[in-house]
Amino acid sequence: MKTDRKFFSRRTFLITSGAVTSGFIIGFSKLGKNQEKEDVEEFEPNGWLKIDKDGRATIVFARSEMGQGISTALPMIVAEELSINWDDVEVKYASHDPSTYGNQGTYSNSSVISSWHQLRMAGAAARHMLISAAASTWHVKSEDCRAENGYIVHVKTKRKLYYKDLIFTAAKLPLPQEINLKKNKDFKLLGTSPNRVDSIIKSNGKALYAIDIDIPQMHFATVLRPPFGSEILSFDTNGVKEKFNLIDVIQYKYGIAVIARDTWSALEARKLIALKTKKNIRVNSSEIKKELKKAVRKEGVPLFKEIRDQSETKSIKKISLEYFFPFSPHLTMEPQNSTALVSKKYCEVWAPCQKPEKVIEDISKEIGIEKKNIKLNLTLIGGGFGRRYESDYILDSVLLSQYYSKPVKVIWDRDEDIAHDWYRPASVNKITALIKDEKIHEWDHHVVSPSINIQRDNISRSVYQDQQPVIGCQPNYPIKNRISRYTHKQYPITVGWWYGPDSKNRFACETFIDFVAKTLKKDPLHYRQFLLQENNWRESATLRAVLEKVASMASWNNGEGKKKGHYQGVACVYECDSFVAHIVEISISQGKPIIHDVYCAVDCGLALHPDIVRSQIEGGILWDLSAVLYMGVDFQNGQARQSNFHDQPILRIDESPRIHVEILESSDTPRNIGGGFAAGAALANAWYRATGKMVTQLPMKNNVF
Amino acid sequence: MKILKKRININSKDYQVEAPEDISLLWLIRDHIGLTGTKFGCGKGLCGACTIHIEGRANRSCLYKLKDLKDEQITTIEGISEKDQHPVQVVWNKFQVAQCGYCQSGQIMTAIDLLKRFSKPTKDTIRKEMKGNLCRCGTYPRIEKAIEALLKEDRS
Repeated sequence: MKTDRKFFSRRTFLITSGAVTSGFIIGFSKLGKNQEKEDVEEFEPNGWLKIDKDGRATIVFARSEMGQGISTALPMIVAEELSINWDDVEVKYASHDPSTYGNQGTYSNSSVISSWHQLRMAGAAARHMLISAAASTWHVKSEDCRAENGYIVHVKTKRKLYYKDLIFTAAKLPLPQEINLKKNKDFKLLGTSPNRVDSIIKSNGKALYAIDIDIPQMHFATVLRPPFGSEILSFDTNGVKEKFNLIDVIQYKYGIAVIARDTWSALEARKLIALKTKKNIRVNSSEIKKELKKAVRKEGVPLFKEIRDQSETKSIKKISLEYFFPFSPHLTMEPQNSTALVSKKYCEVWAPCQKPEKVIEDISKEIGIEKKNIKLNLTLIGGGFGRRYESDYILDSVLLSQYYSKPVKVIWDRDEDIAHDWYRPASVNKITALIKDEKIHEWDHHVVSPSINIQRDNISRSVYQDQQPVIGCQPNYPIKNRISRYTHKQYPITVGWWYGPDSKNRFACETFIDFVAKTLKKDPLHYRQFLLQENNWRESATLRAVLEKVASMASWNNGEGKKKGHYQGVACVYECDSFVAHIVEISISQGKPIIHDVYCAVDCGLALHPDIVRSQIEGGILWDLSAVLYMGVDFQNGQARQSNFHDQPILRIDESPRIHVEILESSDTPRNIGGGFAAGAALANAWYRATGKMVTQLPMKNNVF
Repeated sequence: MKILKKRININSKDYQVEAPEDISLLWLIRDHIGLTGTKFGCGKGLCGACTIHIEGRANRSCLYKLKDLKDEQITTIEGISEKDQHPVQVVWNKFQVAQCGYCQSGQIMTAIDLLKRFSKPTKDTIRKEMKGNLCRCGTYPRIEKAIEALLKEDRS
C-alpha cells in the first residue's frame, strides 16, 4: 500500500482548513461532529461520506454534472477506497459549499485530476477508522484486518464485522494519523463500468434541471438584449402587455425584460417587441474578417519563442497558409436560464453553473448582497461546454427578482442564446514553416483574434502578457525552432471558453502538417511518425503508439479508404494530458462530405470508468465534427444573422459516423479526457486527400460545400 | 388573448386547465400542469426536445396549440411506464445512452413512435426517423445501437 505520511491531527484540520498544503484537508472540516454525541445514528468521518446504521453509504458529489459522467466516476473513487459495494452507495449532490468541498468548479476537463487524491483520502480515512473499530472490538492489531465490500475481516480467523455494526465505535475514534491508499492492482470498482447514477432519471423525465425549478409565486420572464455595439434608446411593446396579460415589460440594466404568468406568454410577447437602438460601435463580420486578415500579414508579437537550431538555412523551403475561424456558439440543448429568490439580505439561485465561486462573486457585485448570504444550488446541467462558466443569464434573474421582490425564473429564447453567446473567438491564423531535409526546421504561427482573458478582466496590463490566445499554436511534434505570435483585436462581441479550448489553433496545426507532407510527397500518417521518431520530446512515444493503433484500426493505406471512392484523413493531438489519434473516412456526394467512420485511439491514463471515457470520446468526436462542418455565427450591425438550429445547424444523427474507439492505458493515474479532440482536422485532411483542396476557412458549410 | 377553460387528458389523467388559447402544449404541460420531463430546446420544431405523443403519435409540443386539441390523449415521458420498464427506457439504460440527458425525453418519445410504425426498420430508416431530434453531447451512436438491439431482441 502507498503511504501518505502527512500528519493529520484534528487540530491540524481545524487550523488549516482551506489551506493549500494538501487538497484533502478540505472536506474534513465537518470532522468529529459525531464524537461529542453519545447516540450515534451514522458515521460521518468527513464531509464526503457517511455510513448509516444499515451499512449504506451516502457519498457527496460536489461538482457539476453536465453529461460527462463525473457524478458517477468521482463517488466511485471514494467508494473504492472505502471498500464498499457500489450497490450500497447513494450519491448526494452538494450545494455550493467551498468551505467543505473546496473548488467546485467544473471546467477545463479537470475534475478527475483535481479530485483524485482528495477523494481517495476521504474514502481511505473512513476505511482506516472502520478497521480500527473492528480491531479494537476483537482486541487484535489493525494490521491484521482488511476491509472488503462493506465489512472488515480479521485475516487469520476470518471473523467478519459489517460496517453497519462498526459505525458506533468508528464514530468515536480519532482520525487516522497515517492514511494508506490502495494499490491500483487492488482496485475492485475503479476500472469497471457500473451504470451511471443518473441514467434512470434521464430516461423517465424525473431528472431535474434548473429550467424545471418551480417556486411558489414565481414570475416567468425572458429578456431581449440590444445588438452588440448598440444601446437601447426606446422600445415599443406593440400592445403585448394587454395581449398576453403580462405582469410587466421593463428596461433593465442589460436590455428589455418581459415578465409574465407563464413562459409561453413571455416568449411570445418578446417576439413582438421592437427596439429602437443607437449604434455606438460598428460590428460587422465582413469588416472584422478583413481587419483580422490585414493584421495577420504584419509581424505580430512573439509570445513564445524557442530557437534551438541557428544553423545554415540556405536549402530551406518556405511554405505558409492562412486560416479563418468564425465566432462559434456553444448551443447547449438546455437554453440559458436561472431562477432567483432575492430578499434584502439574502439571495438563493438555481442555475446551470460551471463556476460557482465566480457566479457568487458576480451576484454579490451586481446586487450588493454579501457572498456568504448567497446560496447557489447546483442542478443537473443540460450541456455546459464552457457556456455555463458565465453569469449573464444568472444576473438577469437576480436583478429581476430583486426588483419585483418575487422569485423570478428567466429563460432565454434560442435566438437570444445564439445572438448573445460567449463565442469561441473569431481568428485569423497564419502558419509559416521552413522545411529542411524533409523536416520542419521552423514553425511560426501567428494568431490575430480577440482575447478571452483581456475582455473578461478588462485588464490594464499589457495584452501581450497573456498566453491564452496562442495555446495550441505549436504542433505535437519535436521542432527545433518554434515561434507563436499574437496580434490583439477586440470587438464588442463577447468571447469565452469553448469545449476543447484551443481547438481552432490545433485544427490549423494538424491540417498544416498534411500540407507539409503533401509538399514533400509523403504519406501524412507516416510523416507524423517520422517527425515523432526523435525522442527528444517525452510525449513522442505515446503519440506514436496511438497513431500506430489507429492506423491498424482503420487499415491505413496512404489515405485510400476501405471502399472505392472513400478517403481517409488522420490527425493526432496531445492536450489536456491525453493522447488522441483519429482517422476519419469520408466519401463525397453532391459536393458534400459524407462521414462514414471515425477511428480513434486514446491514451488517457487509468480509465476509472471505461464506458464513461468511451462516451466522452464519442461526444468529443461529434462535437469537433459539428464545429468544423457547421459552427459559425456572423454579425451585421451587431446582430447575429443566425437565430436557431435551421441556420446554425449541428450534426444530426443521419450524418453521424460509426465510431470505433480503442483505449490504451500507459499510466496508473487517471488523466483528463474530453476536449482534446481533432476529429475535425482529420475530416479536413480526408477532404484534402479527396479533393486536393485544403480546408482553411471554417465552417466547411458555406465555404467548401 | 382568449383564455380557454378545458379538460385535457395527460398520461391517462384528467386535468382542468385555464390558459391562453394559443399556448403551446409544451408550456401548458411544463408551466401549468407541472410535468417538466418535456423539454424546451428551440420553440420552432427544429430540435425535438419537446416531443410528446398525441393519440400515440410523436408530435412537437412546442408547435401544438391548446385550442387545436380536441379530446385527444396526450402522453409525455412521465407516462410511458409506471416503473421505468418501457422497453425503450430499458434499452436506453442498458446502453447508457444519456449524457447531459436534456434531449433524451424527446429522443425516447420519437423512438417509441418509430418502433410502432416500423416493424423492421433498417439502419437508414432509424437514422431518417430520428434525425429531427438533436443531441449536443454526441449520444447518436448509442441511440442507434440501442434501437437496433431492441429490434434484435424482438425478433429472437
